[in-house]
Formats: sequence, C-alpha cells, structure tokens
Amino acid sequence: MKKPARMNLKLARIEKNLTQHELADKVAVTRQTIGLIEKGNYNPTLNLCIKIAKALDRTLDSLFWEDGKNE
Amino acid sequence: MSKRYFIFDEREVTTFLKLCTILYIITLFSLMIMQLYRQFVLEQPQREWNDIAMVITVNVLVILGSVLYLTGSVNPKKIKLRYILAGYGGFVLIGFLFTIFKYTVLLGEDLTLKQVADYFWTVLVISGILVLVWGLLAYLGSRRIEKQIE
Repeated sequence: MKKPARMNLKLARIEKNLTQHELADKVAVTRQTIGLIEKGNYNPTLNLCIKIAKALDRTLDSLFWEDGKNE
Repeated sequence: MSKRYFIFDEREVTTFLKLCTILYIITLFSLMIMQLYRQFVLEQPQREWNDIAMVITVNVLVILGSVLYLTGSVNPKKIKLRYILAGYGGFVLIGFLFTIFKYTVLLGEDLTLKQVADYFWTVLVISGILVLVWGLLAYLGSRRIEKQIE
C-alpha cells in the first residue's frame, strides 16, 4: 500500500531521534511549520524540502515522494 | 537547541502576504465605496473626495503596471496588433461611456456636442498613454525575465 509522503517525513524524523522542535531549529522554521508539513496541511517550498532532506540525511524522493522507500 | 524566540519562516511570510493582499483589496473597495458615497449620496463637492479618488486611481494603475513588469508573463511583441487595438478600443469605449454616464445620468448635466467630443478626446489620449505605459512595462518585464533565464 502507498504510504502518504508526509508519513515518510515523520518516520525519518523519529528514526533520527529528533523532535519536531529540534528539526524546526535545524532548518530555521517554526515547530508549527514542521507539524503542518507532517500533517500534509502545508506544502513547503523546494528550498525548505532540501533543507529538511539535508537535516535528516535523506533524499527528497524518500521524504516527499509517495512511492519513496524509507531508507 | 538554539534560542530563537522569533522566527518568521516561509509559511508565516506566505500567510502574512495573503493577509496583506486580502486587506489591501478590502481597503481599496472600502475607499471606492467611501468615494461613491461622498460623491453621490452626500453630494459633496469634488475637492472633498478628490484625494480618495486619486489614491484609488494611483493604486489601480500602479498595481497593474507592477504586475505586468514583475511577472513578465505578457510579451506585447507576441500579441497581434489587432488584439492590442481591440483592447485599446474597448478601454476607450468603456472610459467614454462611463464619463458620459457620470455627467448625464449621475450628475444630471446637459452636455453639448463639443463637450462630448472633448471628453472623447480626453479619454482617447489618457487611455492611449496608459496602454503605451503598460505595454512598455510588460515588454521590459518580459525582457527582464528572459535575461534571468538565459
């Protein structure tokens, strides 16, 4: 079954042992923004996607593509 | 953990800008209603609502010009001349009819043929200047974007 893209982000963050607040600090946004991205209620810009991917040591595909596999 | 108490991130900037846009539109329409109310309900002389009319006019003209320049998505060179002329003609017609409507129906004045002709030429010239300026801005905007792409 396809996993929603937002789940990938949440799982990757948890695997990295980061709270929403810590990830938010790493990419210079608010905790609310991370929360909304994880809920699928906000579409981040490509720049923010790249920052998040770098902070979590993942590729954009694995975090934001529906078919992306969790590494 | 960093101690940043105030972060204005992209989501907040977007929300703020959306809010500004909505409030701007509300403000502009409120000004229009204010001006019409003063002009036709309170029947105030022109000098008492002229400033509001100026603000509305400048805002509308600047916003159209800015959109054409900053987006750069309209290239007048690629639009056929007959479409530009049709747009200009429509602009003149609407402006002219509105002017005549304003003086005859709303203000109840009897216009002579000379006055009608004068209003027509005024609308024709002002619309021409506006179309030229907007066309120039659209051209400069599209050229700017093309240069950025190169």
